[in-house]
Amino acid sequence: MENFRLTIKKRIYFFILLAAVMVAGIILLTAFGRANDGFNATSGILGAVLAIAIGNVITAKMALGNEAKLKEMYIKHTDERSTQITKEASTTTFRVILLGVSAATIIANFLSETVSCTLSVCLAFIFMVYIAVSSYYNSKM
Amino acid sequence: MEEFRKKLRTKIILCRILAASLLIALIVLQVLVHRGVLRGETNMGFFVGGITVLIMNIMRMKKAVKDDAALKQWYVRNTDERTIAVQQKAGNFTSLFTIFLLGIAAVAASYINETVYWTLGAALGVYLLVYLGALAYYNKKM
Repeated sequence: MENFRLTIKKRIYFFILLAAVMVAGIILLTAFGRANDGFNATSGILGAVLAIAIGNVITAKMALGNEAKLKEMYIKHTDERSTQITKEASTTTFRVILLGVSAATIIANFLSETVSCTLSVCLAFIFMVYIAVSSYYNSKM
Repeated sequence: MEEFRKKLRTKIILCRILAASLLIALIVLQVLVHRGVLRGETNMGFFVGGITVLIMNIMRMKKAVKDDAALKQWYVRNTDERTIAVQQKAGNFTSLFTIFLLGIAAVAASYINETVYWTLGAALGVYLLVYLGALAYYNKKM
Protein backbone atom coordinates (compact mmCIF):
# COMPACT_ATOMS: atom_id res chain seq x y z
CA MET A 1 0.00 0.00 0.00
CA GLU A 2 2.95 2.33 0.68
CA ASN A 3 4.08 1.93 -2.91
CA PHE A 4 0.62 2.85 -4.09
CA ARG A 5 0.67 5.93 -1.85
CA LEU A 6 3.94 6.98 -3.52
CA THR A 7 2.39 6.43 -6.95
CA ILE A 8 -0.56 8.64 -5.98
CA LYS A 9 1.82 11.38 -4.76
CA LYS A 10 3.70 11.25 -8.07
CA ARG A 11 0.38 11.46 -9.89
CA ILE A 12 -0.56 14.58 -7.91
CA TYR A 13 2.72 16.27 -8.92
CA PHE A 14 2.12 15.31 -12.54
CA PHE A 15 -1.41 16.71 -12.60
CA ILE A 16 -0.33 19.92 -10.82
CA LEU A 17 2.35 20.37 -13.50
CA LEU A 18 -0.20 19.68 -16.23
CA ALA A 19 -2.64 22.18 -14.71
CA ALA A 20 0.12 24.82 -14.50
CA VAL A 21 1.01 24.29 -18.16
CA MET A 22 -2.67 24.58 -19.14
CA VAL A 23 -3.11 27.78 -17.11
CA ALA A 24 0.00 29.26 -18.74
CA GLY A 25 -1.34 28.23 -22.15
CA ILE A 26 -4.72 29.85 -21.51
CA ILE A 27 -3.10 33.09 -20.25
CA LEU A 28 -0.74 33.26 -23.25
CA LEU A 29 -3.57 32.49 -25.64
CA THR A 30 -5.85 35.14 -24.12
CA ALA A 31 -3.05 37.71 -24.19
CA PHE A 32 -1.71 37.09 -27.70
CA GLY A 33 -3.97 34.76 -29.62
CA ARG A 34 -7.46 36.23 -29.37
CA ALA A 35 -7.49 37.21 -33.03
CA ASN A 36 -6.60 33.73 -34.27
CA ASP A 37 -9.24 31.51 -35.88
CA GLY A 38 -8.54 28.59 -33.58
CA PHE A 39 -8.79 30.55 -30.32
CA ASN A 40 -12.11 29.03 -29.25
CA ALA A 41 -11.08 25.45 -30.04
CA THR A 42 -7.69 25.70 -28.33
CA SER A 43 -8.94 27.49 -25.24
CA GLY A 44 -11.81 24.98 -24.95
CA ILE A 45 -9.47 21.98 -25.07
CA LEU A 46 -6.96 23.60 -22.68
CA GLY A 47 -9.83 24.39 -20.29
CA ALA A 48 -11.11 20.80 -20.45
CA VAL A 49 -7.64 19.37 -19.72
CA LEU A 50 -7.26 21.87 -16.85
CA ALA A 51 -10.58 20.76 -15.36
CA ILE A 52 -9.59 17.07 -15.65
CA ALA A 53 -6.21 17.77 -14.01
CA ILE A 54 -7.80 19.69 -11.11
CA GLY A 55 -10.40 16.95 -10.65
CA ASN A 56 -7.67 14.30 -10.49
CA VAL A 57 -5.60 16.32 -7.99
CA ILE A 58 -8.63 16.73 -5.71
CA THR A 59 -9.55 13.00 -5.90
CA ALA A 60 -5.96 11.92 -5.24
CA LYS A 61 -5.54 14.34 -2.31
CA MET A 62 -8.81 13.11 -0.78
CA ALA A 63 -7.63 9.51 -1.13
CA LEU A 64 -4.29 10.31 0.52
CA GLY A 65 -6.06 11.84 3.51
CA ASN A 66 -8.51 8.96 3.96
CA GLU A 67 -7.33 5.34 4.38
CA ALA A 68 -10.66 3.82 3.28
CA LYS A 69 -10.76 5.87 0.09
CA LEU A 70 -7.13 5.01 -0.64
CA LYS A 71 -7.95 1.31 -0.29
CA GLU A 72 -10.96 1.74 -2.58
CA MET A 73 -8.77 3.48 -5.14
CA TYR A 74 -6.12 0.76 -4.86
CA ILE A 75 -8.71 -1.95 -5.49
CA LYS A 76 -10.07 -0.04 -8.47
CA HIS A 77 -6.57 0.34 -9.94
CA THR A 78 -5.54 -3.27 -9.45
CA ASP A 79 -8.88 -4.87 -10.30
CA GLU A 80 -8.33 -7.31 -13.16
CA ARG A 81 -11.93 -7.01 -14.33
CA SER A 82 -11.61 -3.24 -14.87
CA THR A 83 -8.34 -3.73 -16.77
CA GLN A 84 -9.94 -6.40 -18.95
CA ILE A 85 -12.99 -4.20 -19.60
CA THR A 86 -10.77 -1.29 -20.68
CA LYS A 87 -8.74 -3.54 -22.97
CA GLU A 88 -11.82 -5.13 -24.56
CA ALA A 89 -13.49 -1.72 -25.02
CA SER A 90 -10.36 -0.27 -26.63
CA THR A 91 -9.98 -3.21 -29.00
CA THR A 92 -13.65 -3.06 -30.02
CA THR A 93 -13.49 0.73 -30.47
CA PHE A 94 -10.39 0.33 -32.61
CA ARG A 95 -12.15 -2.13 -34.95
CA VAL A 96 -15.37 -0.11 -35.14
CA ILE A 97 -13.45 3.08 -35.88
CA LEU A 98 -11.38 1.42 -38.61
CA LEU A 99 -14.58 0.30 -40.35
CA GLY A 100 -16.33 3.62 -39.73
CA VAL A 101 -13.47 5.79 -40.95
CA SER A 102 -13.05 3.59 -44.05
CA ALA A 103 -16.74 3.96 -44.91
CA ALA A 104 -16.65 7.70 -44.14
CA THR A 105 -13.60 8.14 -46.40
CA ILE A 106 -15.37 6.48 -49.32
CA ILE A 107 -18.51 8.59 -48.82
CA ALA A 108 -16.58 11.82 -48.24
CA ASN A 109 -14.72 11.26 -51.51
CA PHE A 110 -17.92 12.28 -53.34
CA LEU A 111 -18.57 15.30 -51.13
CA SER A 112 -15.31 16.97 -50.18
CA GLU A 113 -11.77 16.13 -51.17
CA THR A 114 -10.34 17.81 -48.05
CA VAL A 115 -12.49 15.73 -45.70
CA SER A 116 -11.68 12.53 -47.59
CA CYS A 117 -7.93 13.27 -47.51
CA THR A 118 -8.06 14.08 -43.78
CA LEU A 119 -9.86 10.83 -43.00
CA SER A 120 -7.48 8.83 -45.22
CA VAL A 121 -4.49 10.26 -43.38
CA CYS A 122 -6.17 9.44 -40.04
CA LEU A 123 -6.78 5.87 -41.19
CA ALA A 124 -3.23 5.41 -42.43
CA PHE A 125 -1.89 6.85 -39.20
CA ILE A 126 -4.04 4.53 -37.04
CA PHE A 127 -2.86 1.53 -39.10
CA MET A 128 0.78 2.53 -38.82
CA VAL A 129 0.57 3.00 -35.04
CA TYR A 130 -1.23 -0.32 -34.63
CA ILE A 131 1.31 -2.24 -36.73
CA ALA A 132 4.25 -0.59 -34.92
CA VAL A 133 2.77 -1.27 -31.46
CA SER A 134 1.85 -4.85 -32.41
CA SER A 135 5.39 -5.59 -33.57
CA TYR A 136 6.76 -3.97 -30.39
CA TYR A 137 4.59 -6.14 -28.12
CA ASN A 138 5.33 -9.19 -30.27
CA SER A 139 9.04 -8.79 -29.66
CA LYS A 140 8.57 -7.78 -26.01
CA MET A 141 6.12 -10.47 -24.83
CA MET B 1 -12.46 -29.06 -33.15
CA GLU B 2 -15.69 -29.75 -35.08
CA GLU B 3 -17.25 -26.65 -33.54
CA PHE B 4 -14.31 -24.57 -34.71
CA ARG B 5 -14.70 -26.01 -38.21
CA LYS B 6 -18.36 -24.92 -38.13
CA LYS B 7 -17.31 -21.43 -37.02
CA LEU B 8 -14.84 -21.22 -39.89
CA ARG B 9 -17.56 -22.24 -42.36
CA THR B 10 -19.81 -19.46 -41.03
CA LYS B 11 -16.90 -17.02 -41.34
CA ILE B 12 -16.34 -18.10 -44.95
CA ILE B 13 -20.00 -17.39 -45.75
CA LEU B 14 -19.82 -13.99 -44.05
CA CYS B 15 -16.62 -13.08 -45.93
CA ARG B 16 -18.24 -14.12 -49.23
CA ILE B 17 -21.29 -11.94 -48.51
CA LEU B 18 -19.03 -9.01 -47.59
CA ALA B 19 -16.88 -9.43 -50.70
CA ALA B 20 -19.97 -9.62 -52.91
CA SER B 21 -21.43 -6.51 -51.22
CA LEU B 22 -18.20 -4.59 -51.79
CA LEU B 23 -18.10 -5.64 -55.43
CA ILE B 24 -21.74 -4.63 -55.96
CA ALA B 25 -21.15 -1.29 -54.18
CA LEU B 26 -18.09 -0.63 -56.37
CA ILE B 27 -20.02 -1.37 -59.56
CA VAL B 28 -23.02 0.73 -58.49
CA LEU B 29 -20.80 3.68 -57.52
CA GLN B 30 -18.86 3.46 -60.80
CA VAL B 31 -22.12 3.44 -62.80
CA LEU B 32 -23.48 6.41 -60.81
CA VAL B 33 -20.25 8.37 -61.36
CA HIS B 34 -20.24 7.62 -65.10
CA ARG B 35 -23.88 8.71 -65.42
CA GLY B 36 -23.08 11.93 -63.60
CA VAL B 37 -25.39 11.26 -60.63
CA LEU B 38 -22.42 11.41 -58.24
CA ARG B 39 -19.57 13.86 -58.54
CA GLY B 40 -16.03 12.90 -57.64
CA GLU B 41 -14.18 9.61 -57.90
CA THR B 42 -14.82 6.18 -56.46
CA ASN B 43 -12.02 5.22 -54.12
CA MET B 44 -10.90 2.13 -56.06
CA GLY B 45 -8.01 1.41 -53.69
CA PHE B 46 -10.29 0.76 -50.73
CA PHE B 47 -12.60 -1.54 -52.64
CA VAL B 48 -9.90 -3.49 -54.46
CA GLY B 49 -7.84 -3.79 -51.26
CA GLY B 50 -10.84 -4.92 -49.22
CA ILE B 51 -11.97 -7.48 -51.80
CA THR B 52 -8.41 -8.86 -52.21
CA VAL B 53 -7.98 -9.29 -48.44
CA LEU B 54 -11.37 -10.98 -48.17
CA ILE B 55 -10.64 -13.38 -51.06
CA MET B 56 -7.26 -14.27 -49.54
CA ASN B 57 -8.93 -14.93 -46.19
CA ILE B 58 -11.61 -17.09 -47.82
CA MET B 59 -8.94 -19.17 -49.59
CA ARG B 60 -6.95 -19.65 -46.37
CA MET B 61 -10.04 -20.59 -44.40
CA LYS B 62 -11.18 -23.03 -47.11
CA LYS B 63 -7.79 -24.73 -46.97
CA ALA B 64 -8.06 -24.96 -43.18
CA VAL B 65 -11.56 -26.49 -43.35
CA LYS B 66 -10.35 -29.21 -45.74
CA ASP B 67 -6.94 -29.96 -44.20
CA ASP B 68 -6.83 -31.15 -40.56
CA ALA B 69 -3.24 -29.99 -39.95
CA ALA B 70 -4.00 -26.51 -41.29
CA LEU B 71 -7.18 -26.39 -39.19
CA LYS B 72 -5.20 -27.26 -36.05
CA GLN B 73 -2.65 -24.56 -36.88
CA TRP B 74 -5.46 -22.03 -37.43
CA TYR B 75 -7.11 -23.07 -34.16
CA VAL B 76 -3.89 -22.69 -32.17
CA ARG B 77 -3.23 -19.28 -33.73
CA ASN B 78 -6.75 -18.08 -32.94
CA THR B 79 -6.87 -19.32 -29.36
CA ASP B 80 -3.25 -18.55 -28.42
CA GLU B 81 -3.40 -16.38 -25.29
CA ARG B 82 -0.20 -14.54 -26.15
CA THR B 83 -1.54 -13.47 -29.55
CA ILE B 84 -4.80 -12.32 -27.99
CA ALA B 85 -2.90 -10.39 -25.30
CA VAL B 86 -0.68 -8.71 -27.93
CA GLN B 87 -3.75 -7.72 -29.98
CA GLN B 88 -5.53 -6.33 -26.92
CA LYS B 89 -2.52 -4.37 -25.72
CA ALA B 90 -1.85 -2.97 -29.18
CA GLY B 91 -5.54 -2.04 -29.62
CA ASN B 92 -5.62 -0.41 -26.19
CA PHE B 93 -2.52 1.70 -26.81
CA THR B 94 -3.54 2.64 -30.35
CA SER B 95 -7.01 3.75 -29.18
CA LEU B 96 -5.73 6.01 -26.41
CA PHE B 97 -2.84 7.36 -28.49
CA THR B 98 -5.18 8.12 -31.39
CA ILE B 99 -7.63 9.99 -29.13
CA PHE B 100 -4.74 12.06 -27.74
CA LEU B 101 -3.24 12.86 -31.14
CA LEU B 102 -6.62 13.61 -32.76
CA GLY B 103 -7.14 16.25 -30.05
CA ILE B 104 -3.77 17.84 -30.75
CA ALA B 105 -4.29 17.63 -34.52
CA ALA B 106 -7.74 19.26 -34.18
CA VAL B 107 -6.23 22.17 -32.21
CA ALA B 108 -3.42 22.58 -34.74
CA ALA B 109 -5.85 22.36 -37.67
CA SER B 110 -8.12 25.02 -36.18
CA TYR B 111 -5.44 27.60 -37.12
CA ILE B 112 -4.93 26.23 -40.63
CA ASN B 113 -8.12 24.88 -42.18
CA GLU B 114 -11.66 24.94 -40.78
CA THR B 115 -12.84 21.89 -42.76
CA VAL B 116 -9.96 19.75 -41.49
CA TYR B 117 -10.62 21.01 -37.96
CA TRP B 118 -14.30 20.02 -38.09
CA THR B 119 -13.46 16.65 -39.65
CA LEU B 120 -10.93 15.84 -36.94
CA GLY B 121 -13.25 17.16 -34.24
CA ALA B 122 -16.08 14.96 -35.50
CA ALA B 123 -13.77 11.93 -35.72
CA LEU B 124 -12.64 12.57 -32.14
CA GLY B 125 -16.22 12.93 -30.94
CA VAL B 126 -17.31 9.69 -32.61
CA TYR B 127 -14.21 7.91 -31.29
CA LEU B 128 -15.00 8.97 -27.72
CA LEU B 129 -18.68 8.06 -28.07
CA VAL B 130 -17.89 4.57 -29.41
CA TYR B 131 -15.29 4.07 -26.67
CA LEU B 132 -17.72 5.09 -23.92
CA GLY B 133 -20.44 2.91 -25.43
CA ALA B 134 -18.08 -0.08 -25.57
CA LEU B 135 -17.02 0.55 -21.96
CA ALA B 136 -20.65 0.59 -20.81
CA TYR B 137 -21.41 -2.56 -22.81
CA TYR B 138 -18.48 -4.55 -21.41
CA ASN B 139 -19.21 -3.28 -17.90
CA LYS B 140 -22.64 -4.87 -18.17
CA LYS B 141 -21.49 -7.99 -19.98
CA MET B 142 -18.41 -8.97 -17.90
